[in-house]
Amino acid sequence: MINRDTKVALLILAVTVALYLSLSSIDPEATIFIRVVIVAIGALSLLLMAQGMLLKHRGERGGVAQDSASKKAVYGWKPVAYIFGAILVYFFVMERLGFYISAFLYFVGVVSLLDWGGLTLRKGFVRIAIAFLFIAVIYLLFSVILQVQTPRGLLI
Amino acid sequence: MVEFLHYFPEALSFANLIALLFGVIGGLILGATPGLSPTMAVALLVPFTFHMDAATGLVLLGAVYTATVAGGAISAILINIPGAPANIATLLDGYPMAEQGKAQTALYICFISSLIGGLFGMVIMILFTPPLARIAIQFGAPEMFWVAIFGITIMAGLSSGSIAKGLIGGMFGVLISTIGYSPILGIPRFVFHDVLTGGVAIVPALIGLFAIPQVFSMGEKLGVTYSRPNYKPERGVFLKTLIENLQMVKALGIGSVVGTIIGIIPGAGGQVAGLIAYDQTRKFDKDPESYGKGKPEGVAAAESANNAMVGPSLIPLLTLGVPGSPTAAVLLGGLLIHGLFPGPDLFLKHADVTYTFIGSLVLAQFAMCFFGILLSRYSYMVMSVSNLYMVAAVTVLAVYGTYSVQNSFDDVIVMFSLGTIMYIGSKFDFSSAPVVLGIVLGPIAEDNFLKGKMIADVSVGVWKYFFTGYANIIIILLCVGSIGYSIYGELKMHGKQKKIKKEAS
Repeated sequence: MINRDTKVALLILAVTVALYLSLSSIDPEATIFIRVVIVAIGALSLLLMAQGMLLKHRGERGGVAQDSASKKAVYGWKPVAYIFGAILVYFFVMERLGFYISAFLYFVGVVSLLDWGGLTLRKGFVRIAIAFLFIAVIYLLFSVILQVQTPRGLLI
Repeated sequence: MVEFLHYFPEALSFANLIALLFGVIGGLILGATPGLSPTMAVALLVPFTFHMDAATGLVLLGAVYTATVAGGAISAILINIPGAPANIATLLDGYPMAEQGKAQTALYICFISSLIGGLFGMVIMILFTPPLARIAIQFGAPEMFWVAIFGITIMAGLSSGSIAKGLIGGMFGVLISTIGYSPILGIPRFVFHDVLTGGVAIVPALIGLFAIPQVFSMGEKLGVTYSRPNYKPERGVFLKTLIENLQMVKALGIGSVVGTIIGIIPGAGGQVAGLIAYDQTRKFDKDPESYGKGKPEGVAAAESANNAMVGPSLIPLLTLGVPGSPTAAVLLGGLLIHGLFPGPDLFLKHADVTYTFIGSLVLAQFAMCFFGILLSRYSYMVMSVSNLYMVAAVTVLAVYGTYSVQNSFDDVIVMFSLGTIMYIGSKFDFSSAPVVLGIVLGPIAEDNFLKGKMIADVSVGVWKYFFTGYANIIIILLCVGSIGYSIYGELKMHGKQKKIKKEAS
């Protein structure tokens, strides 16, 4: 069975081949350094593949042994997916509503989304207050004192 | 030394002192917060310094760098979780001291020892940096090319579990740095989308690679709660601890010397410094068995070492442009966005900025000790901040910082894309530091490679030009040595794991 390091090495090798081929239409003088780097990555991926085959147990977890049961108990992919989605929405609304309003909405939204089960009226107010305070401090410090430009929208 | 004293009053200007104050207090808080790495803290701050005077911006970054290393000891001592890798050795005796109700003494020893070690490291840095910069002035294109490669090899070996993965990460960083127009012919390369036309700027890369994976990993660990530390400050402990601490001459001496030596070696970092100093102090002690059970000398050795490392770790950065640690790589980003390029010019053309920065690092050591002792009594508040708020706050700051440098939304997209790819990479044991170093050192490597090739083509040939000469051979040997040492360490670790597995079965 192919272990994880070998799969990673194969993927890297495929990417390097694709990158190398993408350079074919460009003047070789402009890409000589890049070609050297790509060849080096290809060679390293072969080394990783060999390492994955020789040190089989390591390729499965990439080094330090971890207890998969205890890992599952603490880590979860769902919050990561929520954060990823929330950031995409944040970017989408940022250019329309402006930095400060979208940041405030993102702050309240992501915190509530990640702890939906524990949300109470009191907690909701606390979160809104913390988000407001955080954004107000950023606004004062950077927009008023340092006069840094931000994406502008409906209000500020 | 004369130049240092000449420019030292600049570090005492009102703006620089305010930056120092904010940097030290902020750094202590960020360092003490579990889950926030010092490197990410400095990376998030880099874009904001862009809007400041170069010296003031660097003072802020230097102060945060100094304080996060010491601040990380607070969580190591109080809740047995090091705030930074540099504080791993601190918890070996710091946490047992806290369990015995001596948390206040442990924290005071930590900050006083950090000050002593930090000052020792700074003196070495001030004495050695200018002469080394004068040697670096003699380096031509091939030497600088090899120096850049050396930088990537050392970071690749030390910041990843696998040397192959570290080097692949570093080389991918170099590839990312080549996106955009070629330096000599002006031909676009890897411009698959309009967003990439201008290449990948250093700030979006730094923030994306360090902050976004951390945001996602904080999201993964939302269920983790930290126990409330057992810490009740009492009056009159400081003076007693100070006298006791100053009597730990052996631990402080070993810590400071080991930290300084490790600091000068690029890539070795505070974690190695703390652990070696702790081990050596234990070996030289009459009662080595007492270590690990709450021995104050253990805390003193570890903390003096990891702070002694701060100054010397900047020597390779300031003289050659090779960062001594991941945080130093981020500091390099801070220098570059102000148009300051490491090397002799830093001490000749920009002496005012450079020496003000160095002077402020000395002041930061004192401020770190003072505010560390003052704020440590409120540190439990920092540790009770939920990851929920961290996720939101770090994202907002990352977006804000990235956008603010060039007022470009494209940079924000690049930052987030790189961060997301890095997060996926981290699941396969790739780490951010080599990639960042590749991005930082990539242009140095490419420029010098092309310059060298042009000269070589009309003179002695590429092979002879890049592979002969004392300096070239020494740096190539250092590259080989650093890779060889990493492979040796990896094989040793593999053997250990095998042994543990055998014993367990």
